[in-house]
Amino acid sequence: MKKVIRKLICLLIVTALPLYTTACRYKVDIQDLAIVMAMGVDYTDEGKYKVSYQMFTSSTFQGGSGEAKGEAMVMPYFQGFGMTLTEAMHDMEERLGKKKLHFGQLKVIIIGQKAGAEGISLIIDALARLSEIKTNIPIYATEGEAQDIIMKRASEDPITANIIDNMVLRQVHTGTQPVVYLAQIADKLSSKHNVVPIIGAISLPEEGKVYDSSSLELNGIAVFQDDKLLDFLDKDVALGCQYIWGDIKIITTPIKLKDGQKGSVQLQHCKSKIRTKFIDGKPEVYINIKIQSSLTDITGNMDFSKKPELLNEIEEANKNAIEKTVKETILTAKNDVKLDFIGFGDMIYKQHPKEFEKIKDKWEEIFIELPIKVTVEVEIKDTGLLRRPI
Amino acid sequence: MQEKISPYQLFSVIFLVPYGSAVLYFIAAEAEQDAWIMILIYMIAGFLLQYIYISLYKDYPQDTIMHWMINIFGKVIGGGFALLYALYFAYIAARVLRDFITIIKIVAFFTNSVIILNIVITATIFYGVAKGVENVCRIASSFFILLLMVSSILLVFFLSTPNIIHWHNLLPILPKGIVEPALKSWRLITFPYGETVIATMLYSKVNNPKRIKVAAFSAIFVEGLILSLTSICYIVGLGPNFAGKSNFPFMDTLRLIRVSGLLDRLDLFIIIILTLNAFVKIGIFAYCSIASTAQIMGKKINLKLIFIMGVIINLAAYFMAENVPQHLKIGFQFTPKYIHLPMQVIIPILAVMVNFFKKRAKKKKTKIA
Repeated sequence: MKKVIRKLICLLIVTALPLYTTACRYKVDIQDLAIVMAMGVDYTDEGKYKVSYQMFTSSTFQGGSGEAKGEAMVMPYFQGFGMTLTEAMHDMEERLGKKKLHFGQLKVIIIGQKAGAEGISLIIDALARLSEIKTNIPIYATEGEAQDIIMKRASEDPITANIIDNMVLRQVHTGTQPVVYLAQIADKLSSKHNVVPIIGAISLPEEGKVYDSSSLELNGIAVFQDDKLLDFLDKDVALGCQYIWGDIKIITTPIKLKDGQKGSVQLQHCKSKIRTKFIDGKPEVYINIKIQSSLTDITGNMDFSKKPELLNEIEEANKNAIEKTVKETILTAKNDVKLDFIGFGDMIYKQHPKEFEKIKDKWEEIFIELPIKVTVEVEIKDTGLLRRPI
Repeated sequence: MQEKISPYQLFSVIFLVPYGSAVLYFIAAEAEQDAWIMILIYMIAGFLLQYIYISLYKDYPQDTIMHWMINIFGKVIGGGFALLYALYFAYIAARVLRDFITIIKIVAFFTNSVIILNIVITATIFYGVAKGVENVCRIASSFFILLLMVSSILLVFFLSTPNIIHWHNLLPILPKGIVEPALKSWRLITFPYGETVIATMLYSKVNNPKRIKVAAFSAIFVEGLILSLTSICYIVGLGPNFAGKSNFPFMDTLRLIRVSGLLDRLDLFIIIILTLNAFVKIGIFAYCSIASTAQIMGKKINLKLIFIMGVIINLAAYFMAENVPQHLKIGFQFTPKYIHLPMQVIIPILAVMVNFFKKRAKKKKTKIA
């Protein structure tokens, strides 16, 4: 009898304990979740943060996909205001009612121009501190307000966040524009070595320019001084940066040949090597970019199988185009922005830590005078399925 | 019947006990991008400590550190030291319990009350301990294989995620020479490597004493390699600055993983690894504290003792610190200097010296006689 009672008590304790754990006492059903898909951060004129969410709730797709035909699906979006970002992030909870905010599926964070100019330290701090938010969320800045992008209703997919997510995956695959994640920007913001943080830029395409159902563009970069947004740079500059860093994986570039013929080549492999030297206490940088590509189209009358040297002309033209892009990027950094956003200072520090410590304080002036030599080597490996142009 | 463990089980315990909480933090954060080198360098300290413990064990092969102390230092001083060790093991068990409760609460169970979490975890662990140290060691040995498998899968995922790995974060290598960062990160002697002091409670249980040295040394070697690799992952994934600022870089790094837009949010793995780590680590420390208390009192381990120690460790973990930063500050600043260092390094070295002179004196006596 005693044994039975003891066992009963044990059973009771064992069954009672789980009642206090997450799954029972604090359970949240999926229809009670307000899943945040995209988040935009703006700064209002009254000095408050404005957070806009694009949400995904169970009611969004009620009735199944089959019945939703005819009427366009509406993604709910919510806005909140607050002195700090976290206050603004939870401001709309009253209006959400029973639904609980869930950041686990957050796909992208967009920072508006004013919020960026106010300083992103607080934003990044709040996001990195919240344990629901993952460290690999891409962060973008936009000219204008972030809410315009969050509330943009695209025709291809009602969830803007999914469109952006697909575009980001594409960028990662091709490497034509930089994609910066939360972890990386947090690391750069807390660095002590004159690092200029950059993040990707997102924008709405100009109306009437392209006639397709795309609704967003991930082009260019936003440059920060300390943690304040300084400037937006266009996509050619971003491309130049990617060439210098050797991050490009696939890109097709048009070329113009001497006799009016034209063609294009596709980059298939890119490797960049950056060497830095100190000569008389002054730093010098040598960039060597090695590219392998293949010919994708060309006009004219060249028989490559008889005369493979003909490819040299194409290589030369491609090389000049890439050199121009890279050099223009460096000139933009030196003359227009006057900030080392490409990260030469960091590269010099990494190769010559002792010497760089000496010039660290004057780095911004030194950078403008910094001699940078760019050499590009292009090799065209194949010509596709054709031997001669048609 | 005395409980016996195999050398392989000893190996996995020596490996898992320091690993359990060392993997959570960016240890040697003072050395920034050179942390991984420091971990490898201080492996030597780990070997030396094991050498000291094993040389003590060789003189008293039937006993644990409790009896070594009493035999070497006499009943009064040695007994005091033994008592300190019993307290020390209990304290570390409580500290580790608090570590895991903190991270589990922050990561997964934010709304749960700490007390319930405490009770659930300690109840499981002390049930395991009540079934004997043999069981805990067996779990450790099978968990070691599981851990290797899961970690290698995670590593493959991590390496195959595009755009998150920045090898240049590892540069510059040792910009200030090797001495300055090495002196700064001396705490590595105490944690992780010094925590292998628990092995002193287990040597006498190994069924094949000849292989103890191999097991202990290879455990330290694997420990150093894996922790070094882990901190390389932290540095290339998060960057040395962010990894130094993050409370739990382990989780932040695993959350970077995203393979082909699909394999995402591997938090489940984190929780599984964490709980198993916690089980082995707290289990071994709790066993050590219970066994040493029993040995001081001259009794066998019984359920009452286990229950009382369970409650004490639970309460100690609960009242140890007011908040997480305070807990971390005590853990990284106070404990290594004033608790780990004397218990793991100074007292054993003293014991070796005293033992050496005692043995010489004995030899002389026998010669004269």
